[in-house]
Amino acid sequence: MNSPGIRVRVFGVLRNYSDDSGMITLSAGRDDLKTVRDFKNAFIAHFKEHFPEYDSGEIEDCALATENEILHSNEALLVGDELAVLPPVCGG
Amino acid sequence: MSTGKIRESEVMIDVRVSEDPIELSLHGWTGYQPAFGASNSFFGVVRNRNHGKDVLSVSYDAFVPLAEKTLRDIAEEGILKFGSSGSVLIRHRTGNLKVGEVSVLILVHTPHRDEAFALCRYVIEELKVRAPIWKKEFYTNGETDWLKGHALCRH
Repeated sequence: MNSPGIRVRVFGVLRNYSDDSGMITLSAGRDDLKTVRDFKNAFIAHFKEHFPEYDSGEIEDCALATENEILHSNEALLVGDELAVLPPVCGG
Repeated sequence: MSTGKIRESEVMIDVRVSEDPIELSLHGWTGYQPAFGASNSFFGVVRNRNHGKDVLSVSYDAFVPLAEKTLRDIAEEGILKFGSSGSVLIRHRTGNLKVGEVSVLILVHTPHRDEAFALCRYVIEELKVRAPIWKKEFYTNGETDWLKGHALCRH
């Protein structure tokens, strides 16, 4: 049985492509994504399929994070972590 | 500049990212200690023009738990970088702010003025490139724009 699609929280400009709760659901399941790099590839594929007008190159500049830290690209994804995709920041 | 260890008894860090308006009366914040002879503050305010466009308001978005953790890290780093004791208060707004409203407040107390200026400057500069906070500008001509910023990704 396939695992359900992974849901991730998004912020900033990516909210233009999320549901009302600020989440994006990928077709890939959590079991398919072992590392941050795997996730980013799936995220880019999602945008190419559903939002081809968005420059997927900008996704390369996005970070994947939990509530506690930014994740490295070769880092393993841990089951149970709620993930967030963070575009380049500009607070203040 | 010091690379020593923080003196726990002489450090206070208070961080909040929320929709709550920033109260100017926070100047009465109790982070002060008798050892601190200098205070410095920075207010970030929504201005009426950016990149040649007339701004009506700015909407701030934040990943609050990570933003507050990042701001605490920045405050602690700053205290260590410029001394071994100090107090830092940071408030950052989320939600929609009109021109003239305060979006961010940084208030520091330190033993001497040099580190008060340096610490306050350090916190705002690091906040702008490290805290997961975003802003969307609303212009008088009806257009909107998410502002470009600094990438957080680690390779």
